[in-house]
Amino acid sequence: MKEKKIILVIEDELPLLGAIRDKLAKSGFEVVTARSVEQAKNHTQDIEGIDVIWLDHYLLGKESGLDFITWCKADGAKVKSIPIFVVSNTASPDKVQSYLRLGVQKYYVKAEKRLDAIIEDINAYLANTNRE
Amino acid sequence: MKIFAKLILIIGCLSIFSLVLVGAFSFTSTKNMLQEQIGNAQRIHAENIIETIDRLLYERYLNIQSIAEAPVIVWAINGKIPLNEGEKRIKTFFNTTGPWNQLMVMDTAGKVLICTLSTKDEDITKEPEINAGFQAAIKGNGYYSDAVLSTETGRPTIVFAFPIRDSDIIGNPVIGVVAGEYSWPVINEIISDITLPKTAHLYNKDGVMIAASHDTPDVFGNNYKDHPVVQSALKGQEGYLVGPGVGRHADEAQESLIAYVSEDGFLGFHGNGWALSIEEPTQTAFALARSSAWQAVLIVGFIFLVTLLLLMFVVRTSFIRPVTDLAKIVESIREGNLSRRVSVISKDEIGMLGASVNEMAASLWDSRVKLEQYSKGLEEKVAEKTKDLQSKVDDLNKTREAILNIAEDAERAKQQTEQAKVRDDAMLLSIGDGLVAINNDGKIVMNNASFEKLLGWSGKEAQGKMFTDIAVMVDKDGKPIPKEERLITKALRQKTTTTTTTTYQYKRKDGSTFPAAITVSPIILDNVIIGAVEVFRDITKEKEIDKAKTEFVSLASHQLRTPLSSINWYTEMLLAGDAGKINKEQKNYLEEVYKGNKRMVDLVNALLNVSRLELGTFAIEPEPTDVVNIARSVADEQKPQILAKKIKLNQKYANNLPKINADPKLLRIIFQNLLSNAVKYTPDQGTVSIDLYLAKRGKSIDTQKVNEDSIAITVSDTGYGIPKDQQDEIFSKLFRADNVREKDTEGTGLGLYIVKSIVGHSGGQIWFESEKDKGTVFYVTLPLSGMKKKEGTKAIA
Repeated sequence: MKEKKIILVIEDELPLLGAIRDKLAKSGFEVVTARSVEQAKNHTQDIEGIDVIWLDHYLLGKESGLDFITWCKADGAKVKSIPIFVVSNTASPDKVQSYLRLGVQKYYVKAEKRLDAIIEDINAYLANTNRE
Repeated sequence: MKIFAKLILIIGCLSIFSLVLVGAFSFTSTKNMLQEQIGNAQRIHAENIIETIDRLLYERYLNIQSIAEAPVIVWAINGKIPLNEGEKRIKTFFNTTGPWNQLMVMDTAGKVLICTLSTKDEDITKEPEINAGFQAAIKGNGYYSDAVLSTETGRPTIVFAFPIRDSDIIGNPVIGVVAGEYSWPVINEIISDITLPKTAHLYNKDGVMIAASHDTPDVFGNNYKDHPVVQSALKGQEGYLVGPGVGRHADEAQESLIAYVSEDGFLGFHGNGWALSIEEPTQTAFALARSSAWQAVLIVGFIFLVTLLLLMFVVRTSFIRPVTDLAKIVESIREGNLSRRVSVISKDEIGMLGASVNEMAASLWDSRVKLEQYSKGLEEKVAEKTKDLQSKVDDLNKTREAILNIAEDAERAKQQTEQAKVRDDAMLLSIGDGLVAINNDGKIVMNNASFEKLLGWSGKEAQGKMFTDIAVMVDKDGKPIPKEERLITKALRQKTTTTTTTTYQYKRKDGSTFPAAITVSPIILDNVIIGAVEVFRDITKEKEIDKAKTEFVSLASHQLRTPLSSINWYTEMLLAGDAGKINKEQKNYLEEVYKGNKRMVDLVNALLNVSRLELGTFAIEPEPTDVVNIARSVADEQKPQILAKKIKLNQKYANNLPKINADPKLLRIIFQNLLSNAVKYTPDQGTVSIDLYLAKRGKSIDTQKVNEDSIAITVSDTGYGIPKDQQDEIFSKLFRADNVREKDTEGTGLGLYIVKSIVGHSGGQIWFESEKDKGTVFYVTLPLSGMKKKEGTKAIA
């Protein structure tokens, strides 16, 4: 087993992306970042062993986080099983429902959640799945 | 005047048609006639020219003959006088006749004895054209040649020859020959005596051009035997034709008028069968013909027009006017003026008609006089009878007056009712919302103008039809709403007025749809439903505005939260020491930043909820909900604050509470606000109580009566209370009481406003009881009937 967990962070706002990256790095993750769905797709193809994905709703480019997840889940083999945590400020219930229906692990409203709380959840989830 | 107009039209059309015909005919016939004249004139001109030429040649023929017969010449040849005497004589002839190129005299052997040129000893066989003349003359015949080239001069000429006979010897034997070459330019001059653009051409019998006026010399010698003009002329015909020219006009695109004649000879000169043509471009030749033709057309047209106007005038005066006058008089007779008579009487049919009218008027007059006499007699009889009747009528009148008084009262009442009805009708018809009244079978009995405008059915079409058939209602997916579920159908069953809460669409006659807000009331008479009235309104615009507002709210929520997240997370990281250790003071400050930002997030959330509540765009999604569960979980959430302030929390939940159909998110907001307010505004070690219990309709809680069976919620505290003078404003948006603002800077002033809105939307009641520095009790009732489902574009977060 490799030492560090690889996390793919997909977030368009640079200041937010910076905070997430730094905090995740400090928490012992190897962080890969993407600002658009296109970039994120490329990363999932190029980088082996992504353990978890951190996803925002609104992204650069035409496609949103929903498009990315639809792509991930349709793909079948490679990325289908990677857990996804959606962290977004778009909190309308219908969007949250859409994400949960597509099989994301959790949906957080950015402005209302501490970074360490989200990272704690992610760590707990990963620890759980590893044990199984 | 109508007949006159018709006549003008008919005659006008016919005239224009015939004018065109006559014009065209006179144009062509005039032109043709003139052209024929011009052509013939040209032919005569040509005849004159050829005759001049023939006459000239004939004279030369006579000249040669007279030379040959001159005694001096005969004597000089037969040796009676010296030859030079003859030579002298020849020279005189050369000057007085001709003009000649040369004159010569030969003996029978063909030896040249005399010659006006210096070729005395020359052998005439070297000059074949002279030789031909000599050969003919030596046989005793007079001779003239065709146009030939002179060997001597190299120019065209005609050779004339005549035998010289010795009259002193019996048998008058031929002793020599006189020959002359005629000077050709004379012919050319004759031909050229013609003015351009006319040109003349002379051809020999083979069709070769031998002379031409105004033409370059190279035309000379060309063969024209294929040209139609030359062909006809060489056949001996004379005339003219229109076609392509021969000489200088041959190359021009325009046609020429060409006259042609053949040479006939003159007296003893029989000619050489030559032909002559004169041509002129038709453009100039026929110019006169064309202009004259146009003049003819103009004159004919003018005469035609004058005749037409004259005809119109005659028709008008002798037919139309009498008929019009007749019509006027008949009209006045019809109006009763029987004394009018037709005055103009002519002997034609119109006159006969006038006479008949007069007779008719006269007999009408008679009839009227008779009728008047008769009616006078009748009147007298009637007057008698009337008197009898009058007394009877008087009696009746008295009776009638009595009845009338009663009827008048009834009439007045009726009028008042009618006025009221008209007023009501006007009001109904003029309202902007669609309005329809149905009877208890569901058939339309009345509708207003807006109904027709909105649904596209006219009142006539709609009258008497089932309203549910005409106005098809569909849900937002376009599925028709079954008749039984329509509000109007329900209204016929229950006695309450209902209003739509979800958006339905009405289908217009043309199939298009519009969203409608609908209110339906049953019409109740003597406690029986006899029909229903539906009022509906097109809310397309409102929907659009709502959508725009919602989109704005959604965007604003995202945009406002993004920078707040940024501040949140960076502060969190600084506090966590991610950027290095911080001291206590830094930590305090950062915590203030963090708290401030947190409040900002709360404020944004609250503001968004307010805007959604106010826009009415929030959704209510009721589901069977355990109210106690929600109360408990909210209380748990508040635990940290409660513990921090060492507050005592009492929870009392009745165990007979049923699940109610409510939106758990909205319920949660109610509890969150009431409870967090209680905790926030109660000093340390105070008490907060939450109490849930069943309240029957009509039961009094505190000062209020419960409207319907409900779950009652009481949240009380021992806090700062609400000052009496500010209690009226406590549910106002952004309002915070002064006493709490002094103590605590947190709070958005929106919580109670949101709670009141939600409770209001749920059909519940909310009120409070408060005393400053003693505490506050909030009362909320939630009807057991639950919340009504409402489809909004946004749920409340």
